Amino acid sequence: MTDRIKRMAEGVLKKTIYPESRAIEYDRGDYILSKRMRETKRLCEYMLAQDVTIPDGALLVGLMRFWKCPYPSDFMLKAGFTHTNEILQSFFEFKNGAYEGFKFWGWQHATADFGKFIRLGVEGVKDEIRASLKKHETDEDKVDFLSSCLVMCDGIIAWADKCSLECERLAEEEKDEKRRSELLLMAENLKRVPRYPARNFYEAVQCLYFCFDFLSDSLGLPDRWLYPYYLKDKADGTLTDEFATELLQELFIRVQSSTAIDSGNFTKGGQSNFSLGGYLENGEDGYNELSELIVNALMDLPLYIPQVTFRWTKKTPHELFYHLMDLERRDKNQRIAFVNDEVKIECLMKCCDVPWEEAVNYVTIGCNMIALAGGMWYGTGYANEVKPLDTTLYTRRADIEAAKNFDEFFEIYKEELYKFLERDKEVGDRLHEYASRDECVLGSLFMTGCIEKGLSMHKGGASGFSEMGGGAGLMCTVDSLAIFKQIVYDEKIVTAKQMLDALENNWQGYEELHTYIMKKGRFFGNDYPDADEVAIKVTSAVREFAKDKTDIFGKRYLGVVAPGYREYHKVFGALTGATPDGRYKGEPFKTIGAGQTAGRDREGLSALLNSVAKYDPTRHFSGVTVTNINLDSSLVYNDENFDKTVRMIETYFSMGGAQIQINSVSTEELIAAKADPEKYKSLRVRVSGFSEYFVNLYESLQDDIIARTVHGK
Amino acid sequence: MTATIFDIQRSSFVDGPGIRTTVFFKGCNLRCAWCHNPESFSPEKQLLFHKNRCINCGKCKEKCAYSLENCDFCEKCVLSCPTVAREICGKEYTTDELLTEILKDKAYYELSRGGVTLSGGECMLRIDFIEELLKKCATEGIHTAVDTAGHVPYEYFKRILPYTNLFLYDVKCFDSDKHKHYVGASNELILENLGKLLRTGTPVWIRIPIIEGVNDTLEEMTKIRHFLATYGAPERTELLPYHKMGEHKYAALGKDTPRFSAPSKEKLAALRAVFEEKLS
Repeated sequence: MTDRIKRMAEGVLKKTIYPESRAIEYDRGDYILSKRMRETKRLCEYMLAQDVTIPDGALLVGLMRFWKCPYPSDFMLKAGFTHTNEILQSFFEFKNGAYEGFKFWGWQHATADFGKFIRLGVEGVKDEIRASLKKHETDEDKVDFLSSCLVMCDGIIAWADKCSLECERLAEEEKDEKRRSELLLMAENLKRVPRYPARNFYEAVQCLYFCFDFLSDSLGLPDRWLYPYYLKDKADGTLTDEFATELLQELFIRVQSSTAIDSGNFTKGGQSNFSLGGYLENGEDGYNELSELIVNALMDLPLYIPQVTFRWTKKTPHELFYHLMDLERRDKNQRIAFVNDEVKIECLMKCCDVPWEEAVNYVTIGCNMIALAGGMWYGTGYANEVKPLDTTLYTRRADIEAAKNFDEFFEIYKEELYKFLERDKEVGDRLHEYASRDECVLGSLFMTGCIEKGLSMHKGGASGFSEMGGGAGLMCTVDSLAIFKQIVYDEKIVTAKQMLDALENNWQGYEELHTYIMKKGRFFGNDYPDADEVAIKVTSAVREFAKDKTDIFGKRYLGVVAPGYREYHKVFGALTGATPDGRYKGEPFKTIGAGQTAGRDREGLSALLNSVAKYDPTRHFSGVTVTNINLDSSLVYNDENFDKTVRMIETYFSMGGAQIQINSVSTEELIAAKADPEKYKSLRVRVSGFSEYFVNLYESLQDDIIARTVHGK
Repeated sequence: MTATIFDIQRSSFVDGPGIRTTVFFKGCNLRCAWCHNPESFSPEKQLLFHKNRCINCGKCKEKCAYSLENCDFCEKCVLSCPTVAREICGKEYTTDELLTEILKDKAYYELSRGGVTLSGGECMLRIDFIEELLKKCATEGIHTAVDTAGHVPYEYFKRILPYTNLFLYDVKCFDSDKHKHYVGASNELILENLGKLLRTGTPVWIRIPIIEGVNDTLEEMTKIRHFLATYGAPERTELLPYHKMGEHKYAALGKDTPRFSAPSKEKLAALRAVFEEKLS
């Protein structure tokens, strides 16, 4: 790491490099414009009113914050979309409680197609807009949208010009010869990009840097977008790996700084996850020398974000996978996650009708969710997935007592499940409809399909799929159904009536039954065919419900399993009665993500992984699952054992597991950290597709991690 | 034909190469004073009682049709115990049942070049059973390892050699009297068998438990080293420091807990170095 980079990186951990936002007055004449045009005009004016900030020694320019802007580009909650923000305020936070006792709403991620801007430049995008205008010339609303897009494009170009002029001004003042020539080159670069296609690696990185704030979420697929420029410059002899690394590091530093230090997200990787490797259109594995350069550049920095997800394929050599897992185990900020391309792409093709050529360009964002480059993962509601079971057990007694076998029991559950899913979708759709009143012209420029269709991303313009529905507690449902089957129908230890009585009495007076379940219960995560089949039955039922459904934009309706770094499992647990898996009334669901209920996996690591791989919800209905395992440190920090751990994960992936995250902190240390957070401030854990400091987690989440089985002890 | 198994450990990283399933047979003809698996001594099923977990609720006695001393392993006490104070150690398996368990992790063996390890106790005491089991595993293409202390007729080795890819062979002390004192039998047969086994060229991993004050001397290690060298070096020699993880099991079996210690890290490194030195 060069001194310059070191200074910058250490600097952003203490103080943001962004300038203060400047609020501005607007022209009242704007009110005679259409709402969309008015917002666009004001957004452009806001941008042009901001100060250009060039951090000391920076080689890249273009920091833009929309905090005091009434019409920000930002797709996420950071700056307040009028309508989206309005409902987020009352549906996202826990303060108002779950809506109708089962639902929260809100959270969305999008991956901008920065690659298109690098390739075509804003002028190229304007050509696309003009072509679309011609196509839609009779549709007034689309003409208005597309005209706004054109204005927005010119706004971007004008902002780049302003940045360029500032570089020239600084160059004039600069006494140091070397720095002056750097500033002049920066000014030149900004005249070129993002307006025109990038011609070299430096310009391409500048373009990415400049555009990032317009949709500041994921950096997307930098090892694909930047690769042609990297190859060309290397061949020409105009680029060294050292300089490429420096540029990339400066880019990463700005990503870290784009999150406010006091936002609570600063040390968490969920908002700036991007991908490396994975399949290319031609079926080859895309991990290249630039991918390696990127990951090394990142590991070299003392930052928390961006975090990166490595896309494993069947063609990934063992040595490479070992190398990356080795980097992750040595990284004290735990910035590399691992997902299985085979499953993710299969899901995109099968569940979302995305063709191979597009599916291979997915990006993992947030909690390892997937969106296509230029696509989005559009606001989901988090629902209490145990609610339908709860309703079944506590309101369908007569039907359950009449059921002759598990299949009949499951049909009753399925009725409740579908009623629940219908209502869940209904509520979600209405909220989406409300949120879709926001315009998002700037963001839409970066989404695939919006220009072609003349439609904003929030109104279904993005051709990347949407994903809705889902929630927390799936595994509590699976375990409960499996135990009900085992105890009532297979082993006939008690009758259905007795089981329901036990639940209604919150296990009081039924202690022996409770003990029996805890000891002999055949829980999920142990390679027991019965529990695995129940898991598949549940996910298939959800899939069956979702398969013909579309959202309000006519896109595929999909389910998710909340990976969870918020306290859904606790809030929903508090609203849920005792469940057959031995859970008491009001207890949190002891499960986060798609894996086992914490502590119920007893048959060893392979048994757990076999179970998860068999039923993985990603394959059945969704693009997001995380599976957590805790490994004894001897499995991670002893090289020979670690190699076996890596092979274990490779086997799991080749069997169909979608994602895995490993923690290797001992239970004792976790307990100590919970009790004495001051002393364990630097203890880091993987949570939800990304990593975070253990002491920053909600208490119920800490408890969940503590309760997990430690394998290999 | 069945055998009593006290544990099947899946995803074991420590009993041979790769990811393995280790099957622990009950019954042993040695009594190493430091053994960490005392529940393996008896070939019979046993009822364990973890006194430290007992809350004196008396439910186990209420449910017991016989007496806790005269146990028929009906499991009623185990199931009625609200904690995990009572446990039954040992379960009967046929070779087919074990094979089913072993096959569950075949995918992991393949990618990690792992397999199955038969351990104990002394699994060789069930020679008819393991011969059949190893044969079945070999037919399935599973890498097989046998973990043995070697105190059995060499005939037994001959019978399983065709189906065994690796032996994990314990050597405890080189001095016969000391061996007899701590292990309960002299080591002539053990060393003789080991010599013969090494001559066959079958891969052997030597495993030496290192117990402070018993065998933690350079002299002891050098003797073992030289003995091994006369037969051509084994594929690998592992020195395993004593650990206390088995101590609570003695109490659960109502036995006195032996008191041993692990050697220091430095000592262990010095002992390991003996096996890395070039032989003159």
